[in-house]
Amino acid sequence: MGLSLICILVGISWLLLLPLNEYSRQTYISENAILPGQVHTYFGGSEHNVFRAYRQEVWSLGHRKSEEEVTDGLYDLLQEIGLRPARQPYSFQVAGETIEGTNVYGLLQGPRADATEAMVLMAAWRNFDGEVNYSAVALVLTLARYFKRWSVWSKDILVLFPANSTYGPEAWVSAYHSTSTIPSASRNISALPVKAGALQGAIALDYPVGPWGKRFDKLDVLYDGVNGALPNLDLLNTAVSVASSQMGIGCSLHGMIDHSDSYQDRLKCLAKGVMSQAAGHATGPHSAFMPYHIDAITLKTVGDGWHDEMSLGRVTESMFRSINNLLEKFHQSFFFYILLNTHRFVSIGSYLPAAMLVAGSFTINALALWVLSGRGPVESPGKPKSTSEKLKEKALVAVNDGKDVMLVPKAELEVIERKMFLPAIVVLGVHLISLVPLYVLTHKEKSGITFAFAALAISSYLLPIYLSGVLVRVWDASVQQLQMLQSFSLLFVGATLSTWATINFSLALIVGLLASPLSFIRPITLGTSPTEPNALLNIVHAVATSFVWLITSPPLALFALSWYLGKDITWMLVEIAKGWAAQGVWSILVIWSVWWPAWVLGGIVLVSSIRFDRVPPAFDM
Amino acid sequence: MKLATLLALPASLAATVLASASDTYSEHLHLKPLPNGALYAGFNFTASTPLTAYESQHFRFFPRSLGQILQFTHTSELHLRFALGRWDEESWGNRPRNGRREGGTGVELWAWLEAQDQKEAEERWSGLVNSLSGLFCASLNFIDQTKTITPILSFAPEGTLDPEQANLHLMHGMLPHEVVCTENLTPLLKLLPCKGKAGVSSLLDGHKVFDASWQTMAIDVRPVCKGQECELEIDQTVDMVLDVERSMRPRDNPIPRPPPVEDVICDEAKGYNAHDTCYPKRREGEMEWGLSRIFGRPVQGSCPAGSRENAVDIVVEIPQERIVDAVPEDALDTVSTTDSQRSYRLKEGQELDLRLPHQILDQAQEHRQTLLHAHRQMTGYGQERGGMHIVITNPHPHSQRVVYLESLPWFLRPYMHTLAISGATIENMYYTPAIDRQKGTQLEILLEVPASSTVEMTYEFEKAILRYTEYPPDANRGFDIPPAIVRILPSNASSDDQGSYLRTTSLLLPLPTPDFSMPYNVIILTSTVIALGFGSIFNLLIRRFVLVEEAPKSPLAVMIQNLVKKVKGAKSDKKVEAAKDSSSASILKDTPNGEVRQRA
Amino acid sequence: MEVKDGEAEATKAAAELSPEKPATIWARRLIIAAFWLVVVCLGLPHWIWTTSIQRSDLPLDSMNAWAEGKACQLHYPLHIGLTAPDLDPEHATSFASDLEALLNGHQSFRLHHFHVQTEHSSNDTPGPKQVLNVVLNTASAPKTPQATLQSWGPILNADHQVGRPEDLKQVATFLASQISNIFEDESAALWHLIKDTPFANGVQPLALSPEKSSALDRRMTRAFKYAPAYHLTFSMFTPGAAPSAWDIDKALEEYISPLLRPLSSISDFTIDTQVQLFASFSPSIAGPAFNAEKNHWTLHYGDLTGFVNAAEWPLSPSIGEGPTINFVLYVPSQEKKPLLIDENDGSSWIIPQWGGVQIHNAPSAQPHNLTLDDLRPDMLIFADQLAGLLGVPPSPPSLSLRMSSLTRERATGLILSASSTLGALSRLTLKLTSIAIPDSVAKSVDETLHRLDQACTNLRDGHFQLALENARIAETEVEKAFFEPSMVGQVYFPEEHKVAVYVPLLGPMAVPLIMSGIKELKKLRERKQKAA
Repeated sequence: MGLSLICILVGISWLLLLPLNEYSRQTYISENAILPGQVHTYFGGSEHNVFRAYRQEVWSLGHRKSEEEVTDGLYDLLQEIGLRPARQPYSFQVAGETIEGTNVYGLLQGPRADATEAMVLMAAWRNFDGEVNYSAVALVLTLARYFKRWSVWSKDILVLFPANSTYGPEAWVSAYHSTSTIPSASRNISALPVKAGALQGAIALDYPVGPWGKRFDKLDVLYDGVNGALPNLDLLNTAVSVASSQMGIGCSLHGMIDHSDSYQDRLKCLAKGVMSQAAGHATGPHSAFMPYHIDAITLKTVGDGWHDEMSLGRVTESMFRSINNLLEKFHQSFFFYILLNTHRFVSIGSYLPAAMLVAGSFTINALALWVLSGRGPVESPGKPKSTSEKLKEKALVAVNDGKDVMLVPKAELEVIERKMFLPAIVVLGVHLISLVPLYVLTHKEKSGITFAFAALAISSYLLPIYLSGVLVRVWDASVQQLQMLQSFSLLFVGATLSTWATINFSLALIVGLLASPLSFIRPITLGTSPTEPNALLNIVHAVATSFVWLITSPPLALFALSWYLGKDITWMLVEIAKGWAAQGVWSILVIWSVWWPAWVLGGIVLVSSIRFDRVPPAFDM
Repeated sequence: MKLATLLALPASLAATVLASASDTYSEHLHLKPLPNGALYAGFNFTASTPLTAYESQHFRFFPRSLGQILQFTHTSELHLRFALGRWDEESWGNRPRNGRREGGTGVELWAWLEAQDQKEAEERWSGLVNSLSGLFCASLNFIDQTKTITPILSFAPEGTLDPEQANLHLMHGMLPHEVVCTENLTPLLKLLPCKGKAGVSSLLDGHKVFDASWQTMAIDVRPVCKGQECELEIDQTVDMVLDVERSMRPRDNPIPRPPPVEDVICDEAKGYNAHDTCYPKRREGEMEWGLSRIFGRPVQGSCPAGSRENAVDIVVEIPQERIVDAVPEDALDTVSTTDSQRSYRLKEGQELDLRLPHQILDQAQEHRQTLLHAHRQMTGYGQERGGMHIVITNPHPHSQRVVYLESLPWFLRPYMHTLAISGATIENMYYTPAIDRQKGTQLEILLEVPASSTVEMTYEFEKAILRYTEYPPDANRGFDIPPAIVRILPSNASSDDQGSYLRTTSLLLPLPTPDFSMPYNVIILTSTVIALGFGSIFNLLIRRFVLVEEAPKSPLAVMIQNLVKKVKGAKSDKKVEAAKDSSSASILKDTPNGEVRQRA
Repeated sequence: MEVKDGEAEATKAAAELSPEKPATIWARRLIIAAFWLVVVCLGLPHWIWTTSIQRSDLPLDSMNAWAEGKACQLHYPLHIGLTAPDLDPEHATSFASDLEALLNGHQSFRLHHFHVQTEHSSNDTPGPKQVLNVVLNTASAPKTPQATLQSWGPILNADHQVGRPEDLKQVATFLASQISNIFEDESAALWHLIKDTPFANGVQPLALSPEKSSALDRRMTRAFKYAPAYHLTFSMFTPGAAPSAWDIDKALEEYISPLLRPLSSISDFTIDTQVQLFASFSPSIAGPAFNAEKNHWTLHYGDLTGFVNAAEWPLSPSIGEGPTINFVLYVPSQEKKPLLIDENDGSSWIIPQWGGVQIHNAPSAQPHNLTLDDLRPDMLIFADQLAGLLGVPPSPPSLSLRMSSLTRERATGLILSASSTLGALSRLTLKLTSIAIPDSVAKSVDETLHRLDQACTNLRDGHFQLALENARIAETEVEKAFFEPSMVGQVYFPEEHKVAVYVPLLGPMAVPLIMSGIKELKKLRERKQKAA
């Protein structure tokens, strides 16, 4: 018991230690080939005029009616620049609504490249916040025209204009890597007519400013991928060092423009990072690339400053030169890290223990319960019994070991055999049931989704009470069986989370913390007998546990999240459904199929011994 | 060779007489502007020597260094290719020389060797690749058995060889990873009689050649028999497509800086056109270019080797109305009206330069549709599986018979049951499965591609895990998969039995790679884990388990206990209960596996 | 830790703990025994078997014997046939013995040993072993004694008047001096070969005049190392486009093959030729300079080394066994001729162990084709450059005698080098104890020794050709053994690595095993003491 509590506390405090200098590290470029900022950048001069012209073009495109005109316009521009243009229409069917659009992209063949490798330069037509990405698109066009003249490219350059920041890139990159494009119910993605070699990196620009222009202050580097996959730290460092050292443009993370390098800010940055990683949703056009082991980031202009589009262009040019230098794909630096600011990070070795400790606490509890469940006497929950007297009454057996004799209560000695069938079935059943909310919330139409969620929330509160009633009364489960039941579910949670921590640390950590109360749940005891010495304690314990159980419930957590984000619940549910269907985000699975069952089972144990007539048992733990 | 045999007098005398008669050499340059600012330049050098002179090792125009290698390895026909970049069918149209003189990315080599049996042939083949790698400064010696295949349908000897002949063995190998560069061009030039000092070869300068968008060097040696007397012919080809604008940049300032604002031609038609806003206008008409500006120098006179009567050195293929000023004027030889070709001939020791001014032609030049398109892509992601996706398009209104040859390294294991071909019929298929670390996969498919249709071929494969030492230094780059070779068989048994070739681009296969930085850590870790496991098990087996208070106390514990006793010496009367409590407490503490502890 | 309190248990527990049941004690003993059994019977042998390097043993003693020159005492019996038709047999034999005595008494022969016997048939062909046949005719001889060496065969014709039998003495001395003249150079060369090797001790030294030894040095350094096969490459280089053809085949037949025919008994030769146009000098040399008063273009000695432009000119050695001897005929351009060496106005030179260069200064205008007549002088020069490069001794005039002495020199040189290599190999194997010695090495070493013995015996009884054959094989075998690739690989696996790999694994596993074993033994003794 205590041990697992310690685990959790240590785990949390561990996280709080991470921002300190002793536990975090300065970032550094570990791949020598990159040479960030070593090349002189020439983008500028007359290119600026060209850029303005292209921005005018894009602006006028943006004010056309139909999507087709936009895509055609971009297509023609690419063709005129001399790239090999292509289109890719796609459509997703999620939550009763269809997301559809057409990606326009062009291939710039590296003069000396042998078509084995490629880099991606993209600007989504609509950025993540839904604004039209005028300047970025224009800038990418100008850069493409400028890159065409260079003969240094050892890799092809793919210039991509996704129609949308999330699903466009998803459709494009998945089509790039898939052989057959047979339309399924939820997604219909057409194949790519033009392809190049293996993608080595992708950079997305986000600069939604019209022809009037707007100077920016900092570049916000977005790096979170789908399901918490991260790009290689080298790519991020390259962006930061190119921008800050070469161009003198400051960088920020998670939109924290004023990041005084204090402990609070670091912790805040860390927290934001953990949250967005746990959410596992796309945070920009780059996110879709991560699952395909393509390192990608988005450079987003934030704030008011004195940097103009040309400096952003130079940053991009310099970065492409750097990626172009790569002989091998990004592999030298870290793939698992948490950033405290643009120049400090925590590597997996330092932060993983936090999640592991939290996950471990479940396992420890599970083992303790298992041991407990092996001890007699067999009792059914809620029978009146007080340990102290019982022990005295019980026959003491004399065990003589050698010359000295010792007295041991009989009951303590006998090892009862565990009846595991019932608990196993129940645990399995509940986990199977958990597929119902998962399915419903990912396949329901938008209109009905909120209602469905409400229904699920209520039923998931009622389910434990009902089940425990059935267990205790109908199948009269013994205390030991209940203990086994809880042990099984905790064991499952512990194993799953510790595994998940290696894949998506943040998700494991957060779910683990939210679910941590479950391991301390014991049958509550209402009503006391005056003879009971620690009745008050029992009541307090009971109230506390049940309260905690009530508030740390999956539905409530989702609701709280939506409240935190300041969006209404429907929007969030739809987003989750989209994420599940279109992007393949797993977070929702973890919530409904790992946490929810454990929560329900915990509830069963909690209310298992509510009898209003007798004094409930208390385990001597 | 024994001296006696060498000096079989009359024969070799006759040979030399013949040789001096019929040692021939000729060279040729073909220039052709291609759409959007590209220029095709095809160099070709052909030398030949009578077989008799060759056998008695008297070399004149035929390079001795190569000739000896061929003799030593009993190679009767040789084809060597160095290639860089890719041919852009969409805009450049048909491939030069029907793709017969081009190779896959990197280095490609195939040859017919004389040998009694396969084993001997393989020995000679390895000898050939090793000595060639020395000659051409290329790592050809990496073409080992795992990279060597023996195609059946894809290649036919160009010379007068009888492929059915039992003791002729065809060997083929590719090195996609090899980066072709200047050090490969120099040996090629050294093989020429004029060594790039005179004749059209004087235009071949490493910097220009390797700044080209597409470039391939070929060496073909074949025996040609006219009636009774046979001769050995070596055919050296350098084809390239130059980006005119890029290669006309001055040598001292190659960086494509943004041009000054006034040099950019703006499109005034645009409404927003202003002093600071300029929509770049695409320049129409033919670009201006000239030999000396593109290649850095004019042609240094003719190469006087061989007979020079009615020799044509340079052919420019351009529309009739295009203006060409040759310096000197009299270099112009003939203007053929039919296929819009103008031929020029060089004089010894007299430079020649061609200049074509910027000019707007009324009708844009048409470019001939290519015979076939072939694209090959790798699909899937992850460390274990992948897929190959080949698309062959036949734009012509008549069906074509095609041989598709794939030579895969052993660590890419295709699943043949997943091979699916849509849109065409397999006439014939040869498949040699791979053997790990010994042989690669060879897949050869004879297809009938219907008229104006697209054929899709897909198969899945598994990625092998290599041994620690088998990874190259740049393991994380991935492993290059050699290009697939597509041979378009000649229709209705026409005059040439070669048909035309095209090759897909090479691919990059990422394999699961270990972290090479820490083998020793791994050793330590694993062995520590093993040791831990062993230690605990061993102790469990041999220890004796006793109750806590039975266990002998460590001296420290004894001391502390005494101290405690001293402290509460006053309450010494309750010693008995204390003892009892302690015992019960101990029981409670131990009960989980009380039975174990009770067994003593 | 465990172990520690384990011991504590062992010692103290005796007091408080009730003694264990014998069954458990036995079980524990059995367990430990079983573990040890596995370790000893399975682990150790497996470990030894997997980590041992195979070192097949070499006959080091005999190898060293050869290296120290003890195995073979070099000396060369020369059989000389004496044909004296005019002498009656007993005179002839006595004369022969006198001659033999005189020759062997001659101070300039340390290694040679002469056997002179009379031939009764006066046929010119020497016997199988005979290196020289002396034909002495006393009848109808001119006043002054004279001896002439036939240029085609090893036959010495001597004319000397013999009035009365006492004259035979002078004849003998005369002949002895003649013969010693013939073989002096050879013996000097042989001595020069072995004088710095262990084979020299036991032979009382031969005094060589410094200029003679230096001359020998030059000859040795210039000559190619002996090889069973040589490639001759005749290349014509010209800076321009002409001449682009030459009648090399005829020229070779005329001038080179007569020299090669007798040599082909020692080695094989292949010939190839090439024509290279537009051959430029390497930038490293100053290049020809015009000398006004001499009115020709000149090269300096300094330029001769860099004359051959190794980077540009395709003179790569031919493929196959044996070295390539290059003969470069450089035809200067029309305006740069005549081209001569400044110091001595010569036009040809030898590059030691590489080949010869000859500048072709034809008076005529640049022809398109060099005819046989144009080539004659160059070919003659090439011919004796070839002789020098092959190490053919300049004297005596008779070609066949030169060949036979070349044979002896070659055989000696091969034996010397082979035995020194043997010594090196034995030292190597003794020094590097961690390198593997595969069977192939041992085999070829044995072969070498065998062949060397044979060569030695062949030398002793005068079968020099056979001796050469054996020595050649011995040389190749020992080279193969010495450069066996699988031997070098092991050297780079130092002991530290092994330690680094074993310690983490074996340390933690060994400690409990050993300690428990010791503990059990202690207990055993205690019980014994209790029992007693």
